[in-house]
Amino acid sequence: MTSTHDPQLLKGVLSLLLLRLLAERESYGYELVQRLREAGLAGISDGTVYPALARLEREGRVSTRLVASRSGPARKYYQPTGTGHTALAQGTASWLSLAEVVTPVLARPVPAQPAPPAKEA
Amino acid sequence: MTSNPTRIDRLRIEWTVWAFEYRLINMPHRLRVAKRREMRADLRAAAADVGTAEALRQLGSLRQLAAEYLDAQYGEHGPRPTFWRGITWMVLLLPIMFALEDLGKWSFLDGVRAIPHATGVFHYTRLKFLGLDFTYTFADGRNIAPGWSLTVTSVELAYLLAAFLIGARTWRLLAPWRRWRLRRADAISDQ
Repeated sequence: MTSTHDPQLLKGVLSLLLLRLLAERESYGYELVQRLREAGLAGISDGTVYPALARLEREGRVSTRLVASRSGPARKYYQPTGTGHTALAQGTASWLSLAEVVTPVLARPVPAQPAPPAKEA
Repeated sequence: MTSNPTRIDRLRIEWTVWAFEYRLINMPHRLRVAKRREMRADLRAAAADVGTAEALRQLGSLRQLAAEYLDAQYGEHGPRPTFWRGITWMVLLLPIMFALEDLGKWSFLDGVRAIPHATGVFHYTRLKFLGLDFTYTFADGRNIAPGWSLTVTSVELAYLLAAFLIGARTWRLLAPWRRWRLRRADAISDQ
């Protein structure tokens, strides 16, 4: 299934997702795009992921190393730094706490008509 | 799908990679080269996976991509080096230097001409800060060996280079001031 996700919503959590995937396995840019697609973000473009990686690198949340590739030029592999791991832990806690509030509200059945305003006591 | 890229595929990738680097012209050279190499490796991996056309399509607009890279490097509203500002400073400095040269030279010559029947060799050395040194030979109030040429001295070139660097790099000096302005704007909007 190809699903599209709100780019603005995605932008907020993309770095968190990248840190999480990198914490699981060191990867290079295009590999991360593939892993995000496999995770369900089928519509995500390479052009969204690469600048996000550059931002994480500038912020010191990921470190890089070049690894020779048999099929072409050396690839730049990313892995989270200590700061990256801390940011991942904080971001995950923050996201889960927000989702805990947002999900039940959004999961409620929507009535056909909004109820009238509650009467003031 | 895994496919071996043809020569045309490689050319398309190379074209894209260099076009992308050109759009990062405001980024320091070392970083730009690193981004170009990374982009090449990723594009080749993508092309081997989904084909060159699809790999390039998934990359999206190069202009937008480069803008996002610059935002990632310097922050969305952060100051950044600007190549064109450096060029502007250079272009503005050039006529100022020529004007200074002309003004000094012609004032000196007018002074010499004011001497009745001026004869001899006259040196004008006040423009040494521009690397210029003029020698005029006068005979009976007439300049018989005009001491000028249409050249730019190495000192003038050094000034031009300095103007370029200052113009392109003053963002580093201005960065603390801009950060202070942003903080102040945030504080005002919070009130």
